[in-house]
Amino acid sequence: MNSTIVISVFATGIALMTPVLWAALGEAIAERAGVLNIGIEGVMLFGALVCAWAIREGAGIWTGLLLAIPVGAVLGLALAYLWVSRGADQIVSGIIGATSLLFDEFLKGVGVVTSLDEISIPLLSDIPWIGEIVFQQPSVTYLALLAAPLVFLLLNRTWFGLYIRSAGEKPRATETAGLSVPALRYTAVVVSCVLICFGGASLIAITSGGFVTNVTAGQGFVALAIVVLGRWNPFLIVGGALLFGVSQALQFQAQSLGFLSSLPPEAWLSLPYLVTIVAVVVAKSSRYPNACGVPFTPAGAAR
Amino acid sequence: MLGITKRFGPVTACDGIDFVLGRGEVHCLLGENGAGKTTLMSILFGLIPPDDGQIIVDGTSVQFGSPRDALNHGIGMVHQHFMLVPEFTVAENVVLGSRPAWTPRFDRAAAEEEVREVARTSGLEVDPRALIRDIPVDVQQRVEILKLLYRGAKVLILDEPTASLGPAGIKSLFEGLATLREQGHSAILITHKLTEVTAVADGVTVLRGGRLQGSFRQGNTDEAELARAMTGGDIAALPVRRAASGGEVVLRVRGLTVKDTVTGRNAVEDLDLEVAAGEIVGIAGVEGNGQRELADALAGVLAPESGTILLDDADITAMPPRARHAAGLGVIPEDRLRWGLVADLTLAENLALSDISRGGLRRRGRLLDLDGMQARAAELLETYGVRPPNPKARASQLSGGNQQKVVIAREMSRQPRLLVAAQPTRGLDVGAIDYVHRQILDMRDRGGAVLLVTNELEELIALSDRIAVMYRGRFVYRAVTADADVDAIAMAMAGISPEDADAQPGAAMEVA
Repeated sequence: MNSTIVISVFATGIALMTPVLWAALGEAIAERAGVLNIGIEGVMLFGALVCAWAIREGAGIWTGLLLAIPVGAVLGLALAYLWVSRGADQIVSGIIGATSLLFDEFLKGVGVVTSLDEISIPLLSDIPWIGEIVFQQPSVTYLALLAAPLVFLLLNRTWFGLYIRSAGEKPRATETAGLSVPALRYTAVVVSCVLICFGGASLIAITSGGFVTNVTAGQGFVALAIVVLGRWNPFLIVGGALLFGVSQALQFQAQSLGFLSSLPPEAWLSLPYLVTIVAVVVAKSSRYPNACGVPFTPAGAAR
Repeated sequence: MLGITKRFGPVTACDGIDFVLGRGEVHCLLGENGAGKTTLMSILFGLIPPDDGQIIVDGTSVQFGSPRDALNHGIGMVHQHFMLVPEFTVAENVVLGSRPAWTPRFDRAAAEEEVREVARTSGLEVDPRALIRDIPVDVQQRVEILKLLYRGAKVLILDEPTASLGPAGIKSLFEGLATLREQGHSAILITHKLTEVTAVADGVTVLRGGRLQGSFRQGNTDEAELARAMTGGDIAALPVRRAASGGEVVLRVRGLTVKDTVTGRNAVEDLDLEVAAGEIVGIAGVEGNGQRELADALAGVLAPESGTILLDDADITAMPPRARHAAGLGVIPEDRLRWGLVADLTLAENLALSDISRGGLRRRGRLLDLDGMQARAAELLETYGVRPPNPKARASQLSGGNQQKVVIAREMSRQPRLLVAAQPTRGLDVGAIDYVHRQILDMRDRGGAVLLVTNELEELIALSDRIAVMYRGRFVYRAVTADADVDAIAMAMAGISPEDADAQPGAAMEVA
């Protein structure tokens, strides 16, 4: 394997990890607040759909991406209503969220041929290897990499972060401290869905294919796994997303990989998913936030 | 608080209760489980809105919609089950909720410094950087009190504050309360233990069945009067304990070492123990000194590192719990809802669990004999006086005392040779405690062997024929109960051996 192939695999891998990184960062916020947001796949699809539709209607790619933000917020409110206010079973209703998959039946084939250009960062992109791998990426990718430390700061260096983490570990303690667990979880789910929806839209922005049925191809569920793999830590989540992105990128270099080139394309397509599953299984056991996935009933309404 | 009333469905938890607390006063709120103590205090703390009645603070009528409102009026509550986030540090727990959520920067170092300062002025020493899950229960309780002081609380409500403390922890808690009282704070202790009232209270209010039974001042009442007000009658004394039975040895433990699954250190270290037929051996100790691991190793839910466990001379060390049951072991686990019962199953199902695993209550091969299950459960519930005696009720719907009766019914009905009872009366009211005590004594009188693990000194002395005190995984004190010295037991629990105590006479402590 020569250096061009290595550089190409990693560079493509970083670009391809973008959607799943956004989604995993968003998911981590919700889970730290105690909400297992299984509607992640559906929310990503909505983001992709909105972005593709905007572009078909003649808007620019960035308009499509930005449109995903309010859409994500609305979806977040809807899901938060189900999980936080109605105390619905988070897994069951998560699957309902995912069945928004059905929507794409009505809107499939929204074609898009453009994608975001890669931006070379001056000077940095001249660094051998690293420059070519990291600093010649689409803008959404840079933003995603920038978002990781920001999410880390949000969770660990702000009062809001401290509060939502307490709501994810022991909500009864949060409540006795005079805070509103529902308000914290609502906010966390909305922020979470905004990031996830944006991630879905970035899927359209980095690849030129447009919206086809099931364009997210299970990446939402991969994001769910990456959050576990990354132990709810944004920096480790970047590593997990990179693993997925790079194993996805391998398929484009398959024919240059000698004896492996005879493998059927399906094998290459399933590789990133297999790698993710294996990584989650092999990684040392990690601990979900204690109250993650458990609906919370405020004391006044209880009994 | 005037005329406070709260109903939950058909149940009236508080029925027109008046409650008065003076500044700088330690006041006990006394009553059995289900008397309405916790409900009344949850109303005062803004967790539950009252249906009727008035709360007056410093002459002004107030309405609390949430704990935050109560805190703003200087009222804070320490719950029986601590409201601490185990994965957070002491400082993070103390400052939780003290700033609006949109305050941008959370400065951990500044928070730690503030907490250190509050700890210093109040005399409640803690390390602000320690993780809650790493510190012992009595320190966690100190953190709970600090949380309230940090938020400016002048009135502290403590729900069953001594339930999980050993004698030394109780002593330091009461000393801490005395210091706070001098600084002008008031405290309300929710309790069902009379000894605590006489130890610390300036005043006491007694509730029974959601109604006010009376308010007393220290010095104007005695334990007998309070007990009558609390229970509505007198409780007969327990049968006296017996001298050593001289029966054959049923349980023989040799060189048992058990590791703590979390920390990896030895929780039980090279322990020898024998329990004979017709004998109750009581194990005492401050929580976290290996008693739980010892009980778990005997029950078969925690594998020992080394050592042997013989039951009637059969080696059960490597046996799974089911085989141990068959060999004659009965277990009343420490946490009845976690290990004793399946909360969402019915009583009939809970009672049948161990029978089914041994092949009973089946028909046509693999199918369950549902009618048989119901009939057997109805019979057991009747015999053991469970309320309600309804086999179809879910375990979670019962009170703590009745849940414990179900566990006892299941374990006793198999007539075990050895009963391991871990904290069998924790969280139960006086009537239920008496019931559990009688069942254990009954087992002994029928020739069974009982290993009793308890934090309650009174219970230990009332039931045990022999006593052993555990400290850091070893027995540091053993005695036949008739010869045992309460002071020596209490000191052994705190890790002070009798020789050390003789060297420093001031170290002796009183145990109620």
